[in-house]
Amino acid sequence: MWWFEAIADGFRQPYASIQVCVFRVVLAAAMLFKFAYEHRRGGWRYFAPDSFVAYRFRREHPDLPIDQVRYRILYLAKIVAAVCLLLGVLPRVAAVVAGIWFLFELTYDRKYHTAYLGLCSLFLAFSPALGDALTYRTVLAAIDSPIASVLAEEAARTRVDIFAQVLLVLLTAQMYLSSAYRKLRSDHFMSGAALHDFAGSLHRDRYAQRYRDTWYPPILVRHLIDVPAPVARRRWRGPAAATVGAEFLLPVMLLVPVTFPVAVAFGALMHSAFTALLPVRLVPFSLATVGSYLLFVDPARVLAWLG
Amino acid sequence: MRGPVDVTTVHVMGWQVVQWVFFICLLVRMARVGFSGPPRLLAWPMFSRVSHCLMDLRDQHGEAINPWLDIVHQDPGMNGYELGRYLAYLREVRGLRANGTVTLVDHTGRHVLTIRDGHVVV
Repeated sequence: MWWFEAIADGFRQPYASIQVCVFRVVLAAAMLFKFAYEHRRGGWRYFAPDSFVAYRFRREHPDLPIDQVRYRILYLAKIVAAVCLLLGVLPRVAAVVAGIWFLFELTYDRKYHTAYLGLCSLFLAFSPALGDALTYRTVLAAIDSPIASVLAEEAARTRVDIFAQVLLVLLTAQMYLSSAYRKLRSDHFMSGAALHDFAGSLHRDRYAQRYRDTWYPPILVRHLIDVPAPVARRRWRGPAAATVGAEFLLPVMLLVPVTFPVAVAFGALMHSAFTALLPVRLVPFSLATVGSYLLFVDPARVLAWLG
Repeated sequence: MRGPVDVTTVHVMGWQVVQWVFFICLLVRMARVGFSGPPRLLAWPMFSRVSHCLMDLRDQHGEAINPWLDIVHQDPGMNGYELGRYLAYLREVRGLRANGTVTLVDHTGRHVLTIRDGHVVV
């Protein structure tokens, strides 16, 4: 498998820059989606002096001198970073700034999808290829000459330092394996109770939510939520076991060329299911993880395919 | 006689050493944190421990308290510890003393907690 060969060769292997650039665009789009919906849901005011978020942050991190003004400076920096990453303006600096933002975000809102986006961003900064394709220059060049020839020229650009891609593949693979293992060890998850409690609690609180993002179709509510707990748990057990199985298999299936298309289909299906449980909030995570599948493809095959 | 030292080659090799050190440290951390111990960066126990507080609370003036107006948007996971923090916030910052019940749902089951004068009644 190319991933092991790349490590054996000291993280040096020829690859088309556009492969990692597509992921750069997907990740930046995921960030912008997240920042946009959080802004609509009051993100700008999270550190207002009388807010619960700021109170909790001050209690848990008394050493970090972040007040509302500094929070808002970081808030603006993250938006600039995500836009720069999308457009390919100083992309490595932008990736580091965005990564630092996500690490900061974990201090006041600890979420695993935030950690994943942040680590992706930091690891992406190792790539020297981020500015080679699909940047604002692509758009400018397309004004003068046909877009097909511009893209063909960008697709022909190659690099050899593949360290960032090796790290990103490792991150997604380790995330799946760690998640599968911890879920397997959790009686709460494997019994179906965790998923039932999660969906059930959000469904019960649906009218209390200031910004209602969760909506479960009546048929799902009838069969999986509003039923006696033992019945519901038995019904959730199948999806729970399937998730663990898929997460264990996905890393290998994504790396083996023959099983890659099946793995993409299963992975996309699984992430759609996660996103249905927690709509809107999990969209950026799902975009980034499924986008990272592209990095599992053997770079030599991508080079051959691009000609 | 030795030829002139290629500065670029030295630079590239130095960078490769940095990459190796980073890679090995990352592998070790991923292996140690990922599969056991408390959830930290590089541990991914998503959905494996779910907790939620269903609150039915009113303040001392009889007004309903809705935690969804205060928490980070779509942050449903509140455990007993975070409930205590939220009640403290209501007391200390907002001057509200909550009364009512909270149903805590977690891996140990469902627990109905009584809240009186802003504190959990044990």
